[in-house]
Amino acid sequence: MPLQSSGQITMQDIANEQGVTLSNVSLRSMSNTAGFAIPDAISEFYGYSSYSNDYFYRNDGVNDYVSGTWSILTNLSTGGGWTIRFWVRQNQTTASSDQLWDFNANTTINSGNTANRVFLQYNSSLNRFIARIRSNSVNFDKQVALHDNLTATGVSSSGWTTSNRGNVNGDGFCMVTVTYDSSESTAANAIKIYWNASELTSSAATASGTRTAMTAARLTLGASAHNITGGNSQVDIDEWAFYSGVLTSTQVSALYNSGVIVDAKNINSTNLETSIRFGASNALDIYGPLFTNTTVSGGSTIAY
Amino acid sequence: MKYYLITSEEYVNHTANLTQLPAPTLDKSKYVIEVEDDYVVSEYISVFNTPNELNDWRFDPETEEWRNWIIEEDY
Repeated sequence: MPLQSSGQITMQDIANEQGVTLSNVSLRSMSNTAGFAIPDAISEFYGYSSYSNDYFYRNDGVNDYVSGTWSILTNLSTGGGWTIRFWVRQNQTTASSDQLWDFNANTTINSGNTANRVFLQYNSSLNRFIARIRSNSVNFDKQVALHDNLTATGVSSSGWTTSNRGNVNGDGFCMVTVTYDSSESTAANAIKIYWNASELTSSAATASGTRTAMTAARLTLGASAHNITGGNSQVDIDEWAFYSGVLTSTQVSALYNSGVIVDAKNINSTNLETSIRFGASNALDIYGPLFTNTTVSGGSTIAY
Repeated sequence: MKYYLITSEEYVNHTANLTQLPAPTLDKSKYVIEVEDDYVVSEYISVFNTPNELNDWRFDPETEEWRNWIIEEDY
């Protein structure tokens, strides 16, 4: 019986016309039976996206971390600009300092070597983010107090905790972005820190020490590589991304996506070098070749 | 999982059995170990059922305990 020219057509209707059984069939197999070829799968339809964000990563703030070796784009201090953005949900009920992400020139975990690092840290005693490029033991950094940027962060001076998460989406996550332009001579101009789509423009302190080439060899999330249990974050992390370029505020706003967490690659893939996504059973879905030999230690991926 | 606060002397009795990293105090006199719920630690100072319980104790602003666990400025 031919298919009707209007109204709902079921897979069973198509199977009946083709004279095939409706078991283990796909649009592709039906298309092939009808004599057509690629593109004919749903995944090949124009505009189709299979993207979904189903998992995040949880760090317990005691001994957990994600870490791996970092390569190719090695010079993070004088080699040009970069942008790092990620989503984070604060889970600590008592404020403590958190290492959110950390590059170290030393590949060895617990090396104790802090001479060459690039990191973003939350300092609880000052209620500040500290974004630091440390090369040859000299600091180049910007510190922004969350309470000094209250409109943007929503985090008051009592500290960044579960009861004071600030401006977050419906799941309790905020997006934090750091951009760095090595061509700028001062940290005030070189480093920008964003909360969601808003730059934290009120700076509490800066250091503009002399920078030397810094060869990053290890990236760690949720802890410091040189002292792996000395400042672990009790946070959830999602959709961590590294760009080899300085994103504009407009581009950061696009990544924020009105608070809907989306893989960076699906919004802006230009200069995107690494994207770390989290899947079931502690799986890391890593885009790009820079972050390898990874390990998830202690922490776990959790479904939304 | 549970978190046990133990002395460095007791810690050596568990090193071979740990599946997660220990978290030592800065002077390495005490350790926190994370173990399965049915793992037996007979000699402990404190036990915590969740990371929040542990961290609330470690980083309580009204005590000086946090100074044993985290340096004030991490370079």
